Amino acid sequence: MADEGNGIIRLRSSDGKVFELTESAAEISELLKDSPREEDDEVTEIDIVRVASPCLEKVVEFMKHYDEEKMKEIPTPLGGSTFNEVMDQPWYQDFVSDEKMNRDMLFNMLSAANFLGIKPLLDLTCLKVTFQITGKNAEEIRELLRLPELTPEEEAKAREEHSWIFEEA
Amino acid sequence: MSIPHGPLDINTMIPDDIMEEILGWLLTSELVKSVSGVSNRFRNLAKRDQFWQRKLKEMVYQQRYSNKASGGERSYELPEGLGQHQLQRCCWFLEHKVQHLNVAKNTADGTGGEGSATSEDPKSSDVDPPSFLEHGPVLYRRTDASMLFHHRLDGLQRVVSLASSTDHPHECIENILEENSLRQRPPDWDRIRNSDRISDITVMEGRQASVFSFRQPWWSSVARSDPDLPETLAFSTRYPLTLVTEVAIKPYADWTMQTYSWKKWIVRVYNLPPLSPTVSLVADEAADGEEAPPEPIYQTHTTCPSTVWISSYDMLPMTASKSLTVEQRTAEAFKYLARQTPAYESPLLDTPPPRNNAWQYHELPSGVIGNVITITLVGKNFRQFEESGYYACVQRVATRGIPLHKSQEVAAAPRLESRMNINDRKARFISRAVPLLVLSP
Repeated sequence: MADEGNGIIRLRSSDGKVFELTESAAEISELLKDSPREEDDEVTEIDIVRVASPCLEKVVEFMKHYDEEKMKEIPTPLGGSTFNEVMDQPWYQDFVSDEKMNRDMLFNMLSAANFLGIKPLLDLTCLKVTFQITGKNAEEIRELLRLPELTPEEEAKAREEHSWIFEEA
Repeated sequence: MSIPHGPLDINTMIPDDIMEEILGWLLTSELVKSVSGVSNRFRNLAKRDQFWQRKLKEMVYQQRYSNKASGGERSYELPEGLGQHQLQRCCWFLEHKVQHLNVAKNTADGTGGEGSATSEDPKSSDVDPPSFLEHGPVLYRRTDASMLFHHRLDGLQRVVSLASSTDHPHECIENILEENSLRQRPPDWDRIRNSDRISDITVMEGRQASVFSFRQPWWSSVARSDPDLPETLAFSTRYPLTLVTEVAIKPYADWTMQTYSWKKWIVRVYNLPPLSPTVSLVADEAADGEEAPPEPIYQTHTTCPSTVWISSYDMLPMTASKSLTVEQRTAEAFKYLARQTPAYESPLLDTPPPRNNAWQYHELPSGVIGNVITITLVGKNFRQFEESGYYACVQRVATRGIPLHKSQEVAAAPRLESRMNINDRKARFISRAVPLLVLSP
C-alpha cells in the first residue's frame, strides 16, 4: 500500500488525456479526496468527464503549486480595490493573468473548480471575474458574459427599483 | 459527457451560489447602478434580502474585528425587518468609509492607488459619502422638538428628548439640540474629533437665543447631593431607523468659565419597536382633509403598560394620564427604556479634565442601527455654590448618521419648508405627525 499522501492520482480528461499529481496535491479537491480507491494501488485513475484537457491541465498545475505554496484566503469584503491588491501572491496573480488565461478558459476553470470542489481555485477565478465586471456598465457586462439584452420594460423596472440613486446621484 | 463547443453559455454554466459569490464581492454602487440592470437573473440575485444581509454582516465583521486578535467571538445582530433599500444604504455607507480609509492609507504610504479597478477615482474620493445617503444630524432640531413638547394631540404629549432630571423648565433638554439656523453654526466634526482644548471651540457657541427667547441654551440637571449619581439624556432619532455613526456632547461653561462637567459617559443606542399611530390621530388627519397617512413603516405592535414610548413611530410620547406629574411620567418613560436591551452600549468613556468644556466625541462601531440614542453622564464634578448640590449641564449634543429609508416613497415624502410662517409651520408639523419621520435637516 502506498504511504498516505505519497500515492499517485491520474486524472483523465473528457478528451482522454491523462495528468498526474500526488495524492497530497489532490487533497485540495473535495471530489478527489472522497473518490474511492483501492488500498493496495499506488496509482489511482479517475475520470474527470466534465473537464476537457486544456482546462484540466491548468487545474492540475494549480493543485501542484498550491501543494507547495498555499494561497491566502481572500477576505470578504475585499481588502483592496484592484485584483493585485487583493491577491498579492505573484504566482497566483500570474496564473489568471489576461495574458495567460482568456475569458473562456477563465469560466471553464471556474466551472471545473466548482465541479471538483477546489475552493481556493474557485475563489481565485471568482475574484478575477469580479474584477472583470468591476467598473463596467450593464451593457459592457452583458458583452463580457455574452448575455442577452434586457427588454425596455425590464430595463425600466430595474431602474425604477433603484430610482433613489439614479435620480439623486 | 461531451465537451461543449462554440460560445460558452456562461449564464447556465455558473450556478446561482457561485454567481452570488462573484456579485457579493462587488461594491454596492456597482451592484445597484450596473449589475442589477444586466439581466433578470442578475437583478433577482441582487434583490435577495439574504444577499444584502450577508454582505452587511461581513462588512461589519471586517470593520469591527479585523484589527483584533483572531479567535474572539464575533457577533452582530441585524435589526429585524430591514428592507432591501435600508440594507443597501448601510452597505454603501460602510463601503465608502472603508474606501476613504484605504485612499487615506495609500496616500500616507505613497502607494497612491493607481490602476484602481473601481469606477470611482480615488483622487476624487471625498470624506463625505454620496449626498443621497444624507449623512448628517439624526436628531430633531431644537425648534421642532420644542414645538412638539408644547403641543398635545389626543391628550398625548409627544417628546423627542428626555432628561432624567431638569433643574428648571427653561433649562430643558430641547435646548441642547442642534438648530437649523443662521445663528448657530453646524458642528465642525473635524474639530470635534480633535478637540481637547477649550480654545478649540468658542465658549459662546450655541449661546444665541433660541426661537423661544426666554429659554437659555443649555440643559441642567437638578442639584444632587451625591456627586456619583448619573443623569441620562434620551433622544429619539427623527427617522424610523438610523445608522448612527458619531455622538458628541459639549459640557456647559457659564460666564465665569465654571464647567458643569461629568466624570465618565456612556452612549447607548436602542432599536425600539415603533408603534402605529393611534386611531384617533388617523381620524383627525382624515377630517382635516389631509392625505391619509402612509402605512406604518413597521407593523410591529408591542404593549407598553401605562407609560409609553407609544403612538407615533419615532417619538417618545409620555403617558396622557393627568394624575402623574411630568417628573413621574419621565421616570416611567426611563423605566420602560431600562427594560429594553440596547443595540449598542459603549464602554465607560473618558472625559477631558473637569474644567475643560471641549466637545467629547465618540465614534460608534460600524453597523449600529437604532432609533433612540441615550447618553448617560456618570458622576458630576462641580457644585454651583458651596452650599448647593452637584450639577451636570450640557451646552450642545450633536450626532451623525444616515437615515435608513425603507423605500424611495418614504424618502420622497414632503419636507418641511424652513421659511414657512411659524404658525403655519407648527400647524403643518403637527398635522403631519406621521410623516414627521422624513423631515429634512
